[in-house]
Amino acid sequence: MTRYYLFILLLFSAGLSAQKTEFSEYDWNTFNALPVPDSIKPLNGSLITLERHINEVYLNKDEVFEEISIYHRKIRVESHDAINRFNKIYVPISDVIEVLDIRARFISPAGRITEVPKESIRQIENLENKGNYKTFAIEGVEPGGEIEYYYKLRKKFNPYGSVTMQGIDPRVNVEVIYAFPQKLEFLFKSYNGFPDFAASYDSLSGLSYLKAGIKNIPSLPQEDYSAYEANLMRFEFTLTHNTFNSSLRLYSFSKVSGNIYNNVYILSKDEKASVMEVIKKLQITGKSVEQQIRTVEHWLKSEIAISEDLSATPSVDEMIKLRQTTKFGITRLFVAFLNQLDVNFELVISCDQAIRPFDPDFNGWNYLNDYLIYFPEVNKVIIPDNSAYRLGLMPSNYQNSYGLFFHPLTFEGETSTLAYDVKRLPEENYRNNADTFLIRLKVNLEEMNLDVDVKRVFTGELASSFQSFWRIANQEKHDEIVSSLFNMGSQNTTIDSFSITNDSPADIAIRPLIWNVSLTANSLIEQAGDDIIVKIGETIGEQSEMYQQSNRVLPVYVGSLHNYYRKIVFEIPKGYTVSNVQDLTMNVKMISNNRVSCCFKADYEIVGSTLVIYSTEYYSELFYPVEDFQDFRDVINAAADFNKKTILLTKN
Amino acid sequence: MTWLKSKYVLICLTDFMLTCFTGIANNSQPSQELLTWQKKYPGNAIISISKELEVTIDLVNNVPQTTFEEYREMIVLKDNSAFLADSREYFNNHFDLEKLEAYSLVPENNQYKKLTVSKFTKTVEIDNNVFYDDQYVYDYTYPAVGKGTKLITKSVATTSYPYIPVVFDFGSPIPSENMIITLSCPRNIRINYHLFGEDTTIVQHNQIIKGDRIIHTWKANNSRYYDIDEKAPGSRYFIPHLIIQIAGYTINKEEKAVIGSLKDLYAFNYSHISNIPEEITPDVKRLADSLSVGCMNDREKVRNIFRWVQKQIKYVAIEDGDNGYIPSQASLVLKRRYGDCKGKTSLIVSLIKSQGMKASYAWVGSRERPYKFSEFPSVVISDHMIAVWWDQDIPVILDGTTFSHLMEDVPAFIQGKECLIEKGKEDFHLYTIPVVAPERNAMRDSMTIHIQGDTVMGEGVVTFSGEKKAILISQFEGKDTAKYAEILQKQLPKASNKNMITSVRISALHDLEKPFTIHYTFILPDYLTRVNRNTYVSLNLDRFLKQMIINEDRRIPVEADMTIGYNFFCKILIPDGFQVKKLPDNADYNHPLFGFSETYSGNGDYVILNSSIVINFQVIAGPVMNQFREMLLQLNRSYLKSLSLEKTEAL
Repeated sequence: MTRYYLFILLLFSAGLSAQKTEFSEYDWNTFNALPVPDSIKPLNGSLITLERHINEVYLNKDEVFEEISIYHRKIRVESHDAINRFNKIYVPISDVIEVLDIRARFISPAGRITEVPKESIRQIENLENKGNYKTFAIEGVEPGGEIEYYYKLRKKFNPYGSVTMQGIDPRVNVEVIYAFPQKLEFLFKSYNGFPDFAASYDSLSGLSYLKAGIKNIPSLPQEDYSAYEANLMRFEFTLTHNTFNSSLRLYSFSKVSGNIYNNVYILSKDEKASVMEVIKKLQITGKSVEQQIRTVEHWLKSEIAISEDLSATPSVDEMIKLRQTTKFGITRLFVAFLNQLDVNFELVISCDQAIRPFDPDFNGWNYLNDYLIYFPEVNKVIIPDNSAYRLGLMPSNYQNSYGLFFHPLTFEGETSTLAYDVKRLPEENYRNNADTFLIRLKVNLEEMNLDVDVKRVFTGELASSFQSFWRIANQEKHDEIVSSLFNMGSQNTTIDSFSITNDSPADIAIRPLIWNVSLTANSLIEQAGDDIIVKIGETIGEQSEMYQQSNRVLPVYVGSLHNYYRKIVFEIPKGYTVSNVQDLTMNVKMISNNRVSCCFKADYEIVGSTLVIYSTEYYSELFYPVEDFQDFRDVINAAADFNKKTILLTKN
Repeated sequence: MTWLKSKYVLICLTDFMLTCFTGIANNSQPSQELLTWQKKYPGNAIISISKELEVTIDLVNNVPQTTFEEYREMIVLKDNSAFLADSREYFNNHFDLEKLEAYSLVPENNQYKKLTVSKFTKTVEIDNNVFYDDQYVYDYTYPAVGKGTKLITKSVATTSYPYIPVVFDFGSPIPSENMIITLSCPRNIRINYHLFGEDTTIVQHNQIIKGDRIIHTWKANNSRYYDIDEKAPGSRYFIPHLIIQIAGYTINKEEKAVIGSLKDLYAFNYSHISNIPEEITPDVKRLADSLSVGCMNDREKVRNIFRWVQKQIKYVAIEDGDNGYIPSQASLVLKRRYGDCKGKTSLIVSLIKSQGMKASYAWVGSRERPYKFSEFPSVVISDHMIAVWWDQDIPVILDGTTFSHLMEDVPAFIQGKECLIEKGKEDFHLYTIPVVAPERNAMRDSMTIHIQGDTVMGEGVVTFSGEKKAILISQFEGKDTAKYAEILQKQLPKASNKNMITSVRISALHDLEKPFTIHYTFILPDYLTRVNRNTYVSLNLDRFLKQMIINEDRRIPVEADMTIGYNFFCKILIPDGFQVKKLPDNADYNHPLFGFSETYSGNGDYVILNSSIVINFQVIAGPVMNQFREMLLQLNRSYLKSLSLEKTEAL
């Protein structure tokens, strides 16, 4: 969305100087101090005792909207670790017209105040390519006191955005105030328990207000298998009307359609010619639509570099000539190629559901972050800016997520604009993302280790995560990866030889990745007197576990739908009897909507002088409510429990 | 820990990305050239085919001015290499960047077509340890990066700051051909140089005199690429590299020293502290007086002073301009309650002096710099500052950037390093900080376990001293007690990840004089194997170094974070109705630098495993790594021995 954002900023170009507004004189004492309830205690040595966000939109002297943005925070620090976490402040000022004020101080337990002198505030130019920052360290800090600072910035008007209000540190006295001229209208929506905004109007000042406040925001710690960021309290806002100009709805889904059409679809003559030249070179006319899409996708993803160092998106012909573009530019390229090939597709804009799930009921541009291309005939998707994916493979971050789908409207045979729908993106079938493992084990009684032959087949994302880079990695990297992937027993594994098939990016989503590996597992045989314990469960590699987690707060986000099938063939050495095999039978499953949603199963049979173990594990749904956590955890832990399975070899 | 400015020199002049350029194939056709390199370096996506640095030193206005003219050329050997397009060049404020140019040579119709980088974005990159820094970088994107494309960067920078050394690497993360550095200077400028790292025999040096000038050339090809292995020391230990330092120059028969000797280097370092006022400010004096109340002797006073600075002065490093070299004044650090290594040193020195005792500033290099003041004086050696208290005539190292180290425990990252201790304008003391004996960094885990049903249960006490103690305290400091089990789990993992810590109690975090102690209880389900009348259980519940694997073909040296003495004691109570079938065999491995021993003993009521591991090195390289690998193999084999218990009667 950078492109549109820049466009808006140009419309509201900045004025030259600050003016007096409702909050322009804000300082420490503008609002009364708020008490901190005794019942709320610091966590890990810190407690945010005040957090105030104020945004005041006003018309400047040049009749252009701008805003005063105030951020005021106070933190009680009770440990050295907490001081180290909070005593260095970075203030982003990339969209700032003028820094009106930055003040920071420390209030000691005895009430002594040490203020940071203005000269200690430094500016960093373009820090890590994220724009300019003001930065300072709090002075005089000691455990038991409070760090307090606020900054007041005159900024370019920001018509829409998202503000996260929760994190690991608990917060009390949280307030958000938006003030703006009555002729502006905003839409605000709160998520994950952050309170709704209340509207008011002050006839004296002529300002409308939207305010939300909450006494206590508890700490939300990170948890495994969760969409942490998506579950944090936050609010979204967007400008909807500016009746200074007209009564039309602003920043709506329909409004963006026109912009997308102009910025993405329309090509100049040179641009078209350049695209056609490549199409000719690729020799794809006459091939099936899917083949055409795959060829174009492979060419663009292997030839064109996407760089955030480029400040502006080049024209399509420049992109092709210089083989480089931006994240937005690669979408333009895809659209240009697909249109020239007359392929039917829908451009989709969505948002990473692990961070901020697209809300179909929030009609704004807030969730229009990431471009995807949907092909309705085959119900498959392309992620233009992700070179590890190809048609038919989609990261879980978007699966079944809502998105804004655009399709062209033609008038008298000419495409003139785009129509939109809010729809769900497809969901992958867990069977397409598989890891099939055939392991043959033989005990080497002399060396007291296991000789192992493995054939392993990856499909889907599991395969693409290797196919996307394998050929450009060197031998040392290859050895390192094989060692970690086929690690049996705490890394004490020697890889004797390996081969790999279908390892190229051109194989992604088409052909499975096949490994054939011979290895020696050095730490799976334990001696116990004359008996031998074989840690057979560790041959499938170390499994994820959630043994420690009990009090779950967040719903489950699996992260990736996938399934494993494992067959272990163990040759019982001559002169030995195998026992303890009955423990190998396991069946742990989770039922959801009357079907097995995820499970771990294992069984065995003894065929002649071999013990054969079969195991199946799959995860077929991305999300589970927190109430189902225990069942999900049982499945995850079942796989980890299998790691602990041993068999015993006793001399006859 | 903080870094002095000399860091920048290394960063600026060595290859950060996969840089470098060619000589051999300039006139050949692109397709032939690509084939040649692909044949020579199969499996590599990109190689450096040339890296040339021309260093010209002249006296301008009676001051040496150095010009660095660099040319680097890489060639892409594989498809799907668009990801190599982004690049980055590092500079710092001592340099005037006069030219920066980059372009791609793209094969087209069997010729190279030049496509130029049109935009360089200036940005600032900050180390994790540094709060504010004045180094800067240029980001840019090579156009049309694909198989056969050559990536070229040219830059010209000058400096009239003669102390900056030239650092040139003869190796990088990719194979590097045709590396040449030429240094030209008039005869009245003297230089010193030294090769560091491994494989330095690949570098050929040549010196000629041409008229009034001396021209040095060093060149090498290096097909080896240097990946960073696990437990590897800093890359300066193994990447072959050259450091050149201007030693001095003569003007009108007058000798001007730059850094030609340790004495010169000391003079340079001393110039950064010479303007710090000797006078002790009242606030500093007041604080020192209050910290000295009730102390019986000087050592106690220094201990209190050191501890106060450790705890009350927060580490914040601001490295802009002179702040990179010059310590802040003690009173300012005291007022701010924060400082970097230099600022903390400044305050410690001032506080000690205010009590009539002797204290000094000292410069030292962190472990990642394998250099010695006594070997090759250069500003690259030190990146850290510490205070020294003179206990009679014995230097006591005080590193104010530590948090929980005892005054007697020098942090491991400067142990074994030479430090340059200031003793006034003309005098200094070169002192080698001792590497502590392993038993000083001790960790002893002692537990008693029993079997209940199919579960192992136990209680343990683990104590830490020295560096290990400091690390553990930093993990627990400020954390809620609810977090303790998680911290312990991470710091002291057990043989099975199903280990559940059921209670944790720690000793006082700020009682630094005693070892740090953790009492804990745990249950360990699914750990033992039970078959018919037999139960098998491994007493190696802690498996220190289990994760450490040294591959047979390892070339990169191995680094130990610290010397350490590890002890594990496990007593299992034999359940009623069971008897021990056979005790596992004892094992040991002895080497002066490392070793372990495991002994089993017991009677009908219990069995005890007594195990100890010693690591008595900081960095090992070459054949001794094989012996270390052998020790790890034997250790891991010992971990795989189980105690076998047999049921004697029905339970």
